[in-house]
Amino acid sequence: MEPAPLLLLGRWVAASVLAISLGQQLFYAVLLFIALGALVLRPPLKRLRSLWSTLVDLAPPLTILVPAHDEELTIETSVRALLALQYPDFEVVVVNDGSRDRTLERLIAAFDLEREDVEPAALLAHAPIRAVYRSRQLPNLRVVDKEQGGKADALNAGLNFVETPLFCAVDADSLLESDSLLRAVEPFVEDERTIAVGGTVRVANGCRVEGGRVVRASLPRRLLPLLQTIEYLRAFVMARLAFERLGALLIISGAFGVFRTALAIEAGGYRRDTVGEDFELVVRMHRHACARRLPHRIRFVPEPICWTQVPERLTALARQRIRWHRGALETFFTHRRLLTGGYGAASWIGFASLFVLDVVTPLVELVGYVIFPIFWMLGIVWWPFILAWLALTFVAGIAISAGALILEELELRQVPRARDLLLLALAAVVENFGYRQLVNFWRLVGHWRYLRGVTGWGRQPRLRFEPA
Amino acid sequence: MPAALRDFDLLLRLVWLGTLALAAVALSVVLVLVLRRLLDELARPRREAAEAEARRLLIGACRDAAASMETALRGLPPEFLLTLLDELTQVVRGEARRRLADVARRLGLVDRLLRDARSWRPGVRAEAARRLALHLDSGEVRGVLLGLLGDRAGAVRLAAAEGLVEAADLRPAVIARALTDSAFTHPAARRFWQRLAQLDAERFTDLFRRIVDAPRRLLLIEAAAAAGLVGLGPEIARASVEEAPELRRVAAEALLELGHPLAAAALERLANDSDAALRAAAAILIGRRQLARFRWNLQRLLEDPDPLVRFRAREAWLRIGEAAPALEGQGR
Repeated sequence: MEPAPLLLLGRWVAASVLAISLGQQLFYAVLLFIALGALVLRPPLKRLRSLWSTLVDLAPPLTILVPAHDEELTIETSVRALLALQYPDFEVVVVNDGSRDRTLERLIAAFDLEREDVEPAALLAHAPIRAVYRSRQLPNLRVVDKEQGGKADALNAGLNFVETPLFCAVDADSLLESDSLLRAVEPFVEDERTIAVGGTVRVANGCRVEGGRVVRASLPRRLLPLLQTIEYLRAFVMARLAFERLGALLIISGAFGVFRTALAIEAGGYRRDTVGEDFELVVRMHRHACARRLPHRIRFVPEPICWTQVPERLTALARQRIRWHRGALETFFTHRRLLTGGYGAASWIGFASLFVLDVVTPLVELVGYVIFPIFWMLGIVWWPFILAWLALTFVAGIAISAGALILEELELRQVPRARDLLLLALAAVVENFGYRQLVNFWRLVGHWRYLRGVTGWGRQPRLRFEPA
Repeated sequence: MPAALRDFDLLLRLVWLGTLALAAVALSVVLVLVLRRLLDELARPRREAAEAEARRLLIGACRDAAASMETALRGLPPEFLLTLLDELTQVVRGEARRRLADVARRLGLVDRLLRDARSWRPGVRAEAARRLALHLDSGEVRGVLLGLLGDRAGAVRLAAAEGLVEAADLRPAVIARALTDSAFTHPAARRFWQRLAQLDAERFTDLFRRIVDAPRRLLLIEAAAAAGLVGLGPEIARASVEEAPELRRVAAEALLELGHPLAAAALERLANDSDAALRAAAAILIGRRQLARFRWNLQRLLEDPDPLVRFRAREAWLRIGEAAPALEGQGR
């Protein structure tokens, strides 16, 4: 007897969910193998001395842009650490984005700032500038004090002051490795088609920090940051490296990225009405370069060059993830023309797969949690179906995360101790039972907020780094 | 359940069993790696002491390479010794370098590098080529490096060329390659051209006069400036007039770097260039090099129709330590 149409429809829906989950996991496996190839084929890691001697005469001057909003707790240490970076010729421009605390006063006192009679060219629009300061002691430090306009607005204001061919955008609470600029600039020196370079961002929670620098890497002691550590590892060591290898990298973390100044300005600088300004700028620079038929590459440095504090509380993490997802959706829909072609096959793959992995599959996974138990009880699906779905939803993620961990240990070896490696392996298992589902739920909330047209960053608590 | 749907059972079993097996294998590999790391950590104190001793011995070898040191160094991982030797050879010259090369040969590290030069990983081949440059007195090394000049990876060819250029008798072969190989038009070839300019000014000057293609010419102008080849000033000055915009900028910068009398005219031309990006570059050059004698150029650039040029000029004015003249209508 033919099954009822409703039963047939139910089976088709279940089979589709299963097929999408399978496709997602197979795609991750392909990315893992591409990342392995990229790591194996890359040149051996240069030590700082060797990197310095190679680049000292070749590295172009660079400006570090630091947007700061209510950063009085960390700003002085952060700026001192930036000024101590190993790079032949660089300038630091801190943009105080209308801080309500004593960020500016701290900077003035710490660096002996004096007012400067200079106004930037109106290359990029931004909120009004209140004053510009330069340090009497350190000629390569400038502070721009402006009305609050958001991170993108602050970066645009800073960009108007950049007079070097490259600029590096960092978060005020990012901790950089002393050789981070040299490592990130190397791809620009090697290949003049390079327009942007991103680097691996690692979790700083639990690390020992001294003078704005990580002096002893360690894993976070709390569960939530630990789970984010494995998530970051998977995102950077596996996904970004693989996308870069495919020539399809379109994301550079806002915590650290180096860009060609002229192209970023020509492309219109940072978009001020999005919370995903980092992703959006890279996509726009790519589109702009394509439109100008400019051969270009967006590169990624797999070595850790930047450390960041991740949220330790669920509420803060929820806010961050909802914001990230909203920003990603804004970029996807603004630049949906990338999906219709004309921008190169590689970028189509990059953009389409990001869209599918970030937008479609989380929703499909959530749908699976709802329908599979119901369908099983109703007899629409039978037990091997359920087992296959459970394996793809809960177990495949373990294999992928463990794969990323293997890559990390074999090729990068940045996890400090054997004990930490074991902890991360446990985290790779645990994150699939609750944490991933929660992140997908926040993505759903991000969808909802995007559809409702919610804008803005919301409140972000500042954390002090753990002192040495 | 209908029989047709049960046909999928095999596929579904494959999916869940395969996924479980993959996860089990991946976690097992991680556990093996954890064990490996644990053993490594247990051996670390002894290894660190041996490495410190090796460092001390090798630094000593720069002055006097005693044969007895080889026994102490033999037990250490070759990769560690190669890295250490590489670091030391970057900071020592002359006889000390030769002694270190001798130590490397006696420890069998040259054989290891020769093996690395045949690796399937281009990065390893490039690194081996770079490190083999220390052993150019060996015929075998020369042969291998000449072979690497024809490697399929550009980075390896450049690394081999950077080494081979040190040997005067091999330079003609390297130059012949550099003139036909596109890897030598790449910015990564800067070091090769700079080294050639430093080592063999006569041959470099001859090449400079012959090479006309823009990408190589750009690198040659930079190399001439870095090597201080003032004699090439008039040729560089010609490049600052006739050629592509990027060449005009680099030529003016090179003349300034050389302190050549023609630099002033080149900078003047750059400041009056039809390309706004080059006028902005002129302002940046004046500011960065604190060229106060060019302040009148800056004064004109402060009134440039292009807002970026005006901004750069104002920046430069402040950099050379003068209060910018009050100007109206600067498009702020």
